[in-house]
Amino acid sequence: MSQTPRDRWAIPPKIGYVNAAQNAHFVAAPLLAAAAIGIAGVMAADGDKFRWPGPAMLLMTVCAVLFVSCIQSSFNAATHLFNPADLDAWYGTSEKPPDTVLMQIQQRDFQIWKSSSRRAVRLYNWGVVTLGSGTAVALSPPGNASSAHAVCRWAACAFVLVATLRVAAATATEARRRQHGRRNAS
Amino acid sequence: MSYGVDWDDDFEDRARTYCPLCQGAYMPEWSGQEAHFGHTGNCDARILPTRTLLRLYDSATAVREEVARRRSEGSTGPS
Ligand SMILES: [Zn+2]
Repeated sequence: MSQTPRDRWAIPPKIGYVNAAQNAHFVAAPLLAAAAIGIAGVMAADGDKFRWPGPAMLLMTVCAVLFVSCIQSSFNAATHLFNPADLDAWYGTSEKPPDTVLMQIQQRDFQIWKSSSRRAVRLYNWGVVTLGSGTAVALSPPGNASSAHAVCRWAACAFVLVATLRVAAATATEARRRQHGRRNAS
Repeated sequence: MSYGVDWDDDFEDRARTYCPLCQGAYMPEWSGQEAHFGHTGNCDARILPTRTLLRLYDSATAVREEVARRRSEGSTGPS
C-alpha cells in the first residue's frame, strides 16, 4: 500500500481546472440536459415531421441521462476537494487536528476528487457526443421535404456530425491514452 | 462510489481518527483499497489490525500496551 504524502498539500494539475469544471458541469450540463429533454419532447409530439424521430428521441434521452450523471459525479467530486485555507476558515479559532493528518486526508480526498472529476468529464463529453448525434439525426430532412429544404437540412446535419465526430474521437483517444498510461504505471 | 449524490462521510470524525504513535490518518475503504491507517514505515502500531486500532486510537498508552501484548505473544505482521 503506497504511503499517502504527509508533508505537503495536493495541488490540482491546472489551477483553473476547478472553476472551469464547475462552470461546465453545474451551468452548461443542466442547460444541455434540458435542451435534450426538450428536443425529445418535440419528437414525441411532432414525430411525423422528422425523418427518424425514434432514434433521435433515443439519443436525446441517453444524452440527458449522461449530463445528469455528469452533474452528480461532479457534485461528489467537489465534496472531496479542499485546500488549507478552507480548513483555516472552517476551524477558525477551534483546535485543528494536526497538519500531518490533514495533509494525508487532503491527499486521499484529492485522489477521490480527481477520479470522480475524470468520470464527470467523460460523462460530459459523451453527453456532447450524443447531443450532437441526436441533433444530426433530428436535422435529417423528412421524405416529403422540398429539395432546397432537404439540401439545407442535410448540410446542417453534416456540419453537426463532423463537429460531433471530432469530439468523439478526442474523447476516445483520451480514454485510450489514460488506459495505456495506467497499464504502464502498474 | 454510488451513482447518485454521495453524502455518507464525516470529515471531522475522520480528521480526529489517526494513529497516536505516528499520526497516520485513518483511510476508509476506497477503490479496491481496504480501510487502513497511514502509518510511517517504522511505526510500532503497524502490527495492529485496523479494527483494533480503531478501538484504541484515542490513547497512545493503550496502543503501546496492545503492541507489547501482541509482541510478547509472538503475533506480528499487520492484517
Ligand atoms: Zn502509526
